[in-house]
Amino acid sequence: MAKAWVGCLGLVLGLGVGCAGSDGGDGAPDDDSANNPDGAGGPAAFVAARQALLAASDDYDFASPPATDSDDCDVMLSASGSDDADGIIEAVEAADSYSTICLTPGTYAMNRSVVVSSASNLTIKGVGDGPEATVLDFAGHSGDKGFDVTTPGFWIENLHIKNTLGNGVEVKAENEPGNPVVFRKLKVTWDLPESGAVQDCSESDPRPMNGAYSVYPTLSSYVVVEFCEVVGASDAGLYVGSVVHGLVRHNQVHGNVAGVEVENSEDVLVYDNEAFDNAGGILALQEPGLKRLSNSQILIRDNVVHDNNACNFARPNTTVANIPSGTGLMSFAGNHIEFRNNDVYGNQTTGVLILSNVLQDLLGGDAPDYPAGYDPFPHEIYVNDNVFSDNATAPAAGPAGDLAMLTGGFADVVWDGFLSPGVADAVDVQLCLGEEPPGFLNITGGQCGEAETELDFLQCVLAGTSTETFAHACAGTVAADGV
Amino acid sequence: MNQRLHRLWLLVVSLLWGACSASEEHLSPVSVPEKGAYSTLSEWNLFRDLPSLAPNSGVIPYEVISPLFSDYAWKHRFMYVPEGTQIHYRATEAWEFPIGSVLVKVFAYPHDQGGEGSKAAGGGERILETRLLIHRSEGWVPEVYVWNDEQTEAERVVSGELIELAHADAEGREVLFEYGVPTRGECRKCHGAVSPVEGALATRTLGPMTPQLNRTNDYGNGPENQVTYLWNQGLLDQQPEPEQSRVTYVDPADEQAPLGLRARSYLASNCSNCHAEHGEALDKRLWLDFAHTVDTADPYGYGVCKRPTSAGNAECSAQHDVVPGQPEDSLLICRMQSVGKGQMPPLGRNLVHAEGAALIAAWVESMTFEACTVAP
Repeated sequence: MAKAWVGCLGLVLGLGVGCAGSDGGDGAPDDDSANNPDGAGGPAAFVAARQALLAASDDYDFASPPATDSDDCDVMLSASGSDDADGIIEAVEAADSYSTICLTPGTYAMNRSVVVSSASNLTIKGVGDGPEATVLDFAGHSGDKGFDVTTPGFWIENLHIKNTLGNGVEVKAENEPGNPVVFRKLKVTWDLPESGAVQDCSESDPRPMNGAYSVYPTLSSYVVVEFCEVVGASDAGLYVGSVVHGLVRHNQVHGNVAGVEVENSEDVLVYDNEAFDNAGGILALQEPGLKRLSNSQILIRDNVVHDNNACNFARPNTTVANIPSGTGLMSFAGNHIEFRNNDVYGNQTTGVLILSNVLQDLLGGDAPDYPAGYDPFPHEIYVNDNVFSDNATAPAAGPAGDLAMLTGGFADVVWDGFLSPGVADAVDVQLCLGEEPPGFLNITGGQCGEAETELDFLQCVLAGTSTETFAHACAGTVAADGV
Repeated sequence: MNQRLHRLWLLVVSLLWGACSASEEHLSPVSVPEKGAYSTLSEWNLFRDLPSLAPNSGVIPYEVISPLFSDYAWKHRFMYVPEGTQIHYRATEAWEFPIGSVLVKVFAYPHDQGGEGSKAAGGGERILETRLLIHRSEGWVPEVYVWNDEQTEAERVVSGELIELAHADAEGREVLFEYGVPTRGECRKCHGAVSPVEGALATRTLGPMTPQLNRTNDYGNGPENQVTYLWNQGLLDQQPEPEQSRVTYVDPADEQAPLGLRARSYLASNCSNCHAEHGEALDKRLWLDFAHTVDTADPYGYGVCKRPTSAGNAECSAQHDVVPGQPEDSLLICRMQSVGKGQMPPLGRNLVHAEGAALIAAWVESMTFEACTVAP
């Protein structure tokens, strides 16, 4: 039985194909300790039990997630109502690797950040009925992040984390294949937006005071984020950055500046998520300012991305401040990015925005000074089999709105049209829209990269804009297995 | 001046103790438990007399050239190396200590800034905490001890503590703040390295390295170079380069030293624990270590005209990390001047290091690179 499990998991996580839940997907694996060199409860059994849980995840969805077990708790803590971080920190410091700290339902007054930097493969989870039963309230805490984790194999589950000064849960760790860091059934929020405060992105909108990122795996390998709800992040709710091998599924992200952001990563699979009421829904970004310079092999499929029309409340010097409100999906530079079979509706600026860094620099008046090895252009971007409706009805004020006015209106898919120097035509950039292309707009027709002034640029746009899709009637795909 | 007098006093005490005990030899040696940690500081026997911080035999005081800012706390540093073992000397990197070594850092405030501490210590200071790094086979293990008000003992603390203090700023105004005793986990934030391997803590020391220790100290025979002293004591496994050819930081507060060197020394000890190729913030590609801030290095590497990605959500509007000649438009300076959200460094301070920020601002001001282009 245990062997069947591992095989099934390999299929699901390694090859990206389904695995019938009835093959054991609805329960814990048999305790096969007789054949397990580590014995019952040893590291191998511990990891196998985790793998079994992950293998069954696709039998569930965000609305009815898998239950959280309390059988495997090594330590059970409860809330006292004051300085509750201290008890959690003491348990974390005392924990052996491969152990589980459980929190009984209640509201924990978190006076400090919790740093996890000693025991590996630590699990911290709430054992209440859903994440909202176990609240970790960081209001007024010392430190910056809620959880700050640098050990491999960390698993955090079934908790409502709120009011962190900075990021909610941050993890930086090189994880082993088959034993990823797991963010599961977390709710991460800030109280300010819920207290009736204005949410109009004016100066009295308090949301820029919210933490930047809710769920923040970065500089990590093997990452799973599932069944999480993230609301109100002032940068990206669910961020996967500088990550190699990531799986983002069954999450609900809303009310953030960016819903899901996959940045400078490789091999990330994003599926079955719902992103709404963000300024931008699900984004794949390739940024020049990081050590890891490319974003590639990102597959964003089978998501529902709708009504991402919230005003953009990011601080002005952040990357996400440039996202036009009303953007459903977006690829910024990057290569081998695919948007497949998503349900994209009600995003007022556009359904899919494909940009180079060049447009931003032209609009921002900045002379780009990229580090060696950074490519500001998108390559091999595939938009296949998505369902679009009611997008591009009212592009956001500002650069997007100005361009939409010049070009006669935006479409379901909008591309800035900039090609790498030396690239002859749009085919070479391999922006493929499939056999039945959606509504499409090429803002510049690839002609305006040399514009010296804003006026030149705008005149060029007037002349060059195009809705022709013949050059994009191709249908490449991206194979991203995640973890 | 106060601090200098106090150090002198400490030295006198330790010499006296040394003189007395040399003949008596009744003191127990330093005691490092096989596993775990003692619940009180005195059990380690690091000091012959805890309140006076007189070091036990084998415990050697040292000073660094460019200290990490810790809310203006005074620090006393000691190293213990097990008898018969040696430190592996390296010219620029952190020295490699033998297993069983203990590094000791004592944090104290003068009485007039530290509130109602007991005068029992008599040294004009209130000791708040002592941090240990114990070198075990699995890595450097941090322990933290918080002193009692009587200044007679310190108890082990795992989950940190906040202590209300008053600090007199440069204008003599009293600033109330919370001094943060770190959690063990927070110790590992600075003393950690990226990608700890399973079962290994991947922790490290920061201060004991040639560029930080290549200065004088008084071990009882007048001022002598610390590195040379340790070599003469037989504690280093290879002979260091001659004093003048050692890579050396300068004291950031030394106004006689070149501005660039002062700034680079400050960044090295206050920022490069994370902002370096082996630091936790390596993903941000901002290199603030001594080697990457030299004139011949790529200025983009230390933030010149580099646009931030998320800017730590700090309440700063600067569009670049460093704008040459314009410290007021440089995010680096703004984050050094922040407290709480977006502050840098993120740990170890709840006050702004005004002098440190002013130093780095002066360095940015002095830069003559082309200006960055800023969005309208």
